Amino acid sequence: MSRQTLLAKIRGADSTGRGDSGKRGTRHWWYQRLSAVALIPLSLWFIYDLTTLATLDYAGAHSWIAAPSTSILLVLFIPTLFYHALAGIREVIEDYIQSERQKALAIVSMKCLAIFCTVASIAAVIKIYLGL
Amino acid sequence: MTTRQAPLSPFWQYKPQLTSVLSITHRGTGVLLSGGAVLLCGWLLSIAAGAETYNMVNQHITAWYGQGVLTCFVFSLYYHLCNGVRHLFWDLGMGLEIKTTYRSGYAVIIASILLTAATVYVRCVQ
Repeated sequence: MSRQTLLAKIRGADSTGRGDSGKRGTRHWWYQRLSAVALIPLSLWFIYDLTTLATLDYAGAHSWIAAPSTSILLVLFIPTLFYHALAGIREVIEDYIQSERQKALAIVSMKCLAIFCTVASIAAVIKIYLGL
Repeated sequence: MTTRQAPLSPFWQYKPQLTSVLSITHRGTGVLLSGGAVLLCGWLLSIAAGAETYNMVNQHITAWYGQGVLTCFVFSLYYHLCNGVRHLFWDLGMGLEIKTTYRSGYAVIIASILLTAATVYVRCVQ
């Protein structure tokens, strides 16, 4: 890699538009805050609805999720939740794991887990909503 | 490549203070809630899998230990939410004076305890 591209990369302005540290850091910071703000009403709704649901047997839980309002809110809640969780876990990993190799490995594993959980949860909600 | 010893986090070095304890609790509850998010995924999958699987899962949720874990999650969520709002104000440059950080810190503790108590109460009378 030439010095020029390395410098550009650090500045976050390389030809691919996928810079490191500089602009990416600012963007992550913003997304982290945006997800935090979005999670305030979403998590309060989630906890309120689950608390006030009279029964959480199979029929009760199923019909709660199958309701259109719940399905829509869950599809908004789940990706936001896992995005925010991953952002936080990433920060913890970056602070406490010293070996660069282990750090990268831990972050990639957590990313995979977050993506898997997001996709699986949304698939589950869609399946329940459609009554499949 | 040689790795330098990273500096220790402040909470390892200083005498615990309200502000530092609240800060590390924010992280702790965040990590706990991330685990809770994975469990939420499992819960949704069990409902999608059908009554038999769900009942197997639900039997643990309704047991005393399941309810205990849920209460910890509820408290963690309220704490992380309240303290998160405190952080958002700091991001806006508000409430950064020492006296205010202590006041908002106490407010976070009281609010999260009251909200947890209210939630447990509502759930019990349901």
